[in-house]
Amino acid sequence: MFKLSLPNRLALHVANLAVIAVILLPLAAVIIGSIQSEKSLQADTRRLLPPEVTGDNFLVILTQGEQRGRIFDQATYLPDNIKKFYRAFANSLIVASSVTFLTLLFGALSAYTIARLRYRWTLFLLQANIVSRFVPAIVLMIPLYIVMRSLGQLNSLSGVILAETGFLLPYAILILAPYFDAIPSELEEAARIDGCSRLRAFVHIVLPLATPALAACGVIMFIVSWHELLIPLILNARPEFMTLPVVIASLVGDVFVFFNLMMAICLLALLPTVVLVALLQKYIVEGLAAGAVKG
Amino acid sequence: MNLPTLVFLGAVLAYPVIYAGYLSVHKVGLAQLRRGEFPFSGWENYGRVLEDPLFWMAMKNTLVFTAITVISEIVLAVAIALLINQTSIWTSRVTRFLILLPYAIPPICNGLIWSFLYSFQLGFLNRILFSLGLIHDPVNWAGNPDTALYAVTVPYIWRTLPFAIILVHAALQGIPRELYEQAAIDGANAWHRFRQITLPMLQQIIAIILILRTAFAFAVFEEILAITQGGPGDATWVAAWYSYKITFSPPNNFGMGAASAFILALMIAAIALVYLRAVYRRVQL
Amino acid sequence: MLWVAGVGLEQLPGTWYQMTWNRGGVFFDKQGNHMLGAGSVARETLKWWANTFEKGLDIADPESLKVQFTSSAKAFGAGKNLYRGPNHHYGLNIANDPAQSPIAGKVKVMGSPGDGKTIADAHVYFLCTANRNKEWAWKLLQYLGGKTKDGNYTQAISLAKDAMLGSGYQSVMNSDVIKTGWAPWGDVPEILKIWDKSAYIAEVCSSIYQPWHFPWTDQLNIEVQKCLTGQITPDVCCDNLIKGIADAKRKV
Repeated sequence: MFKLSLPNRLALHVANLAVIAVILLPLAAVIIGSIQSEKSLQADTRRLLPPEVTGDNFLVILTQGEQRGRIFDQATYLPDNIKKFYRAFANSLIVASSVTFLTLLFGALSAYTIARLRYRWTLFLLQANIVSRFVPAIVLMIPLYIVMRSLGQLNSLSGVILAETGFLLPYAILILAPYFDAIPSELEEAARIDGCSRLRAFVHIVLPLATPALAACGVIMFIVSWHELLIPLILNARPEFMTLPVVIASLVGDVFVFFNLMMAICLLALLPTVVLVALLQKYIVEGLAAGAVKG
Repeated sequence: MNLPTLVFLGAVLAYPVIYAGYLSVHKVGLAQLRRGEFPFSGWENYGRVLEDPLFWMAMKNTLVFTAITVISEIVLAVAIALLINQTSIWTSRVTRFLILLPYAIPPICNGLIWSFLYSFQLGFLNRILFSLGLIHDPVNWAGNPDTALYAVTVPYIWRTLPFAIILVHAALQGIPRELYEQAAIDGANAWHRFRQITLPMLQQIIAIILILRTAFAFAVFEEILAITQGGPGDATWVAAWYSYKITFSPPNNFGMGAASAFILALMIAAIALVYLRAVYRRVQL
Repeated sequence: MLWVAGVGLEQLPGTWYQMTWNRGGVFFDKQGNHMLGAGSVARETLKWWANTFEKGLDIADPESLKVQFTSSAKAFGAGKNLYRGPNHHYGLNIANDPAQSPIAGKVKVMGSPGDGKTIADAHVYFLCTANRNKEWAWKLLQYLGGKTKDGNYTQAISLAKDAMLGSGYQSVMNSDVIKTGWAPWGDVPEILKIWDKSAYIAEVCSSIYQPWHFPWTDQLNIEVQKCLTGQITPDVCCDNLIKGIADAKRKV
């Protein structure tokens, strides 16, 4: 926009490098932490790069403890939750995909009516969603735990999926509503004159036009539910229903787990969403902005 | 078409919130849970929470935590959004590409990674500082009661800042270029342009970030669980951690936990109403 | 020196309990009265203990407040500390294992000072009468806690072998599993001597039979960490804990 003088350009380069360094710092830590042994972490506490590099942390996690490699050969105990990696990964995948699907399905229907029908009750519905977005998870978890317990729904994936869908639905509606609002209504009106029902017009005309909106909202929903800890932590205690964040949180209290193993499982858990963010950055940026500013 | 949404809102949001209110005025411990009878106890749970010094400590820590994170995020978000807006600088384009990365990190992993960074003896941060020759003795980042609360704000800011940056950056792009060009003709320098054009145009988005981030920072949980578990002492007990511990560790007092969570919810609800009035009042829908 | 003073039910409290008991004090007498008043052994012990930290002698590792039993053994492996404890032999199989520890072979076991009084607790397996399948539950209980068909305490032996966990059964403690199995990790006769001098934790803290012991222990963790980091004095800490007994009873 304006010509920048050389000192200014240099200052901006330095500022950028500082920001990039801070963004990458935790990633450097997780990568370097995950490729060494306990012994090498302890051996020299001032050294940045490990004296020797090993893939054993990943080996032990990915073979679920069957192959221990050199560094865990002597270990007499491995936390059970480490041995359930694939199960936890699959559970996370099931929960995140189901929550994404359900929030998109119900969210699109509601966001569409909010955008198209301008009655008092749709405004109220919008406001209810806005307020709902603020409800902190911990407030919901105590009563939900008691309700699910009495219904016998503790320790099931469906319980977690339902709870997360309800928790995220308001956010999905807030992201989707402005997109629907921006789609011109003339097309559907034409279709309805031709005898299309509102639902058919929605499915055949509005939804195809709203693909970018669904992509933006869907990827955000997937990321948020992949990250969710408190809901599955409280509703599921049995290892076979744990999601990845719960497994990882359980290692915090496990006195046998050291940073190397912890960093390795963290790296495996953050990879899917990092890939998503890298590939679908454009949609996420749009969706985040839409969900916060427009109504 | 709205039926599923209403059912979900009712079953998973409205009902539990009301039920939490119900639990908070009843005696609910493990024994009551087993019997399925919750005797009415009036305001007793609230009384116990309000006279618990730990609750007040948690509230104080929550306020300090929120104030630090929200103020830093707004300042940093504006600064970094301006930085990545400099499309003629190639490093700015790199930053812009990387900016969303922290958003991809699961909060619990973020907490654990920082707990490794902060570790007194083995930590990565001290290793870097040793390598650069900046320190001679290890620094106790998260284990010192004077610095622990500040130490846990950093990972939280790191993870949630991209959201604020993106909002500010989107708003920046909505400012008409003509305004700047006119100001340049009038001889305004960069600082004046920022003060007189950029900042006023960002006012609304800054208000939105302020409210949203305040509400979410009030409920911080994962980073506390992963890095300090409330310690050392009570230095990093925050509101959500208090409710979680009271409820889900022995002797599992669900009534008191619900009461404390309800107090937190009321405070956040107040913030939500401000948001509603400030942002969605002019809603055309 | 590295104290085992991380937050927990047994870690930080256990360290204080042990040192108090070793000096002839208790926390709660048989009638359930607290023994934390002015001049009490527990209070004097805490004063001594807190003095090893930054605001006093500054010989205690600040990492002490984070570490649990095993993580303290791992932190000890960095070789920056002279002493780790007090927690009998637990973790020796890590600190003295060449595959896991840079200081393997250099870690020695020491008994407690004076007459060597120490504390212990045993974990017992128990069954609830509401079990759905009583027959299998009984079999499981025998496997976990008792002898299997061949007449061995299978589970107790494998815990001793793999995790260096001692057993409540004398015959297991006197067997070769311990005598030769533990030899690479530490001085077995010394460990067994410590074992013989231990008293059950309830002798020191009869409150463990009470439900309010848990919330009170939560407070104990917090107050003692505040004391060790120099935010409150040991006297204030003990006074708060005395007040805390009534608070804890109301939280139940």
